[in-house]
Amino acid sequence: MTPDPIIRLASVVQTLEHVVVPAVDSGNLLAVEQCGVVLAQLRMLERHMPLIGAYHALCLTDLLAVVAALPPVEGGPAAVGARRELAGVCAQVDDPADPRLAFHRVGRALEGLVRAMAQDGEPAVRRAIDAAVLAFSIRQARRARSWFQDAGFDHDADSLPTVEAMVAGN
Amino acid sequence: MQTQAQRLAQEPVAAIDRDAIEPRLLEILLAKQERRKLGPYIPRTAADIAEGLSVLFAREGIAARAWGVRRMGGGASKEQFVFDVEGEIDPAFARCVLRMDPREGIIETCRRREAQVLRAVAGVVPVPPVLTEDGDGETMGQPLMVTGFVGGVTKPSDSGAGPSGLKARFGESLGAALTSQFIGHLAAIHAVDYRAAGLDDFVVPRPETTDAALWQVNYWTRVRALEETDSLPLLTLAETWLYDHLPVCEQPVLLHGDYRVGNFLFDEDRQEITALLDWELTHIGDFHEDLAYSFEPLFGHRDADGVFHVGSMFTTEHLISRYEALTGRTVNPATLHWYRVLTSYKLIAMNHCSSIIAARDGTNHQNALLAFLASCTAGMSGTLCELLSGEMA
Repeated sequence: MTPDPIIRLASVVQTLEHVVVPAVDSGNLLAVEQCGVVLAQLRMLERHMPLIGAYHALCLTDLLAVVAALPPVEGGPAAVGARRELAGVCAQVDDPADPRLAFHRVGRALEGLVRAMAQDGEPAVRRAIDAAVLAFSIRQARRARSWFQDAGFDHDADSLPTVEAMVAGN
Repeated sequence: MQTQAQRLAQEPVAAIDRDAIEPRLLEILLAKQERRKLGPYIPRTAADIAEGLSVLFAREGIAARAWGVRRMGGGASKEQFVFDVEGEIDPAFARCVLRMDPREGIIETCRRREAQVLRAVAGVVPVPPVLTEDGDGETMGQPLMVTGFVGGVTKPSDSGAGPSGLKARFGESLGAALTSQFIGHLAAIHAVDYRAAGLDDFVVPRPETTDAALWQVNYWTRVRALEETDSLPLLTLAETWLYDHLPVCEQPVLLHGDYRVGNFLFDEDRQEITALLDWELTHIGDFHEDLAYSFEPLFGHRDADGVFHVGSMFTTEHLISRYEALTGRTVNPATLHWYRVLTSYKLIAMNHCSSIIAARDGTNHQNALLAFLASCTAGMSGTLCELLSGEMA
């Protein structure tokens, strides 16, 4: 159980920053640029590490709730089959040991339903499912933006909650 | 805008052909899937490149010697080296740039096509001159292109910026000077007579059809099918929306495909664009596509009043009005919106799919950067949600 993984990671970051990176040949532009990226990624991981389990569980819980609230599917064989497949995947993730993996398994099955509804789903039901997927995606995108705000790419980072607040459900 | 759905309602037409992709693009995309099996990629050393250049020059009959090979910084997709050349050669090639594919990258593109288009637009807009290319990687194991070196910078020397020149900030004077050139060059590219330009590896979509839009959705959807490791239901929602609303392209034009800050060089003193770079995503399609690319928030910033500025230089309204004035074309808001959705769709496909799989397999020279860039997907997803909101009601 010891040392704490966060201590291990922090020590690596500090050593890279103060010992390794300054020793890199400044004429090697690839190496210099990659050092910056490596440090930024490790610092982000350092902040994420205590929250990773909670973050993935939060995303999965929302996704499962969205799927549970979808209207009954009406349509052709593709739509009906995709809905059955999605239900089967969800039934297998009641107590997921790996919420990240479970999230993507359910997500892929939901994508299969979106495609199938476009193929032979009843139009009104398709619209309802698409609207539910979009509403979920808006929440998920905001969570992901908060999660990765330290990467520095977000166009409106000031509007986002901190990673800690987001994982706490704020 | 007449959409695919409206067209289908008006007249019976054949079902959408979801396999329609430019043959050369599909060929290299599928070749990449095979190349991945070779395993991790070790970045080339300067000595490797010097040796490869001597083989390349001998093969091409170039009576010159490359020396002083060193790696260039910047960029997120290709390995680039600069070197000097001595011998019987045009002075434009006294210093050259080697642009070479890694085993995998954020996008899979064709050096042969890129060389063809650089030759086609030379003299129309400022571009590096092409010395030679090896589109199939026969000399160094990876496809490559050699161009003359052009001086300039991608971002002001007093401005910080992220990878690939993103988030660069231009001052008022410099921004104003570059704006007119940036938009003027775009109009000039779109005016190129591509049929007489030697673009042998390009296929032209049929005018007055949905070909141009369809081929793009098909291509990026194929990329996802081959390279997506994680789910993103939003992306599939966008995929179905794009297929439902394919716009008709009245008259295809030559597109740059990646027209943004970070992809041109400029001289800070003369305040002049010296070269338009990164023509690897060039294709023939709808002019709205290049315009829509500028609307991506990642390629600009909002001022204190919340107004979005493309590359910190000009507003999207200015872009549209200047472009219309220069070309005589009229921008269709619905078509522009469709191409904004496509822009988000393809940018997410690059970062969410191709970047992650290359980083996972260690097949790029900048694996750490690709894994880092994948975080862009979050912000782009927010943009795509905004674009699709109102479309799903």
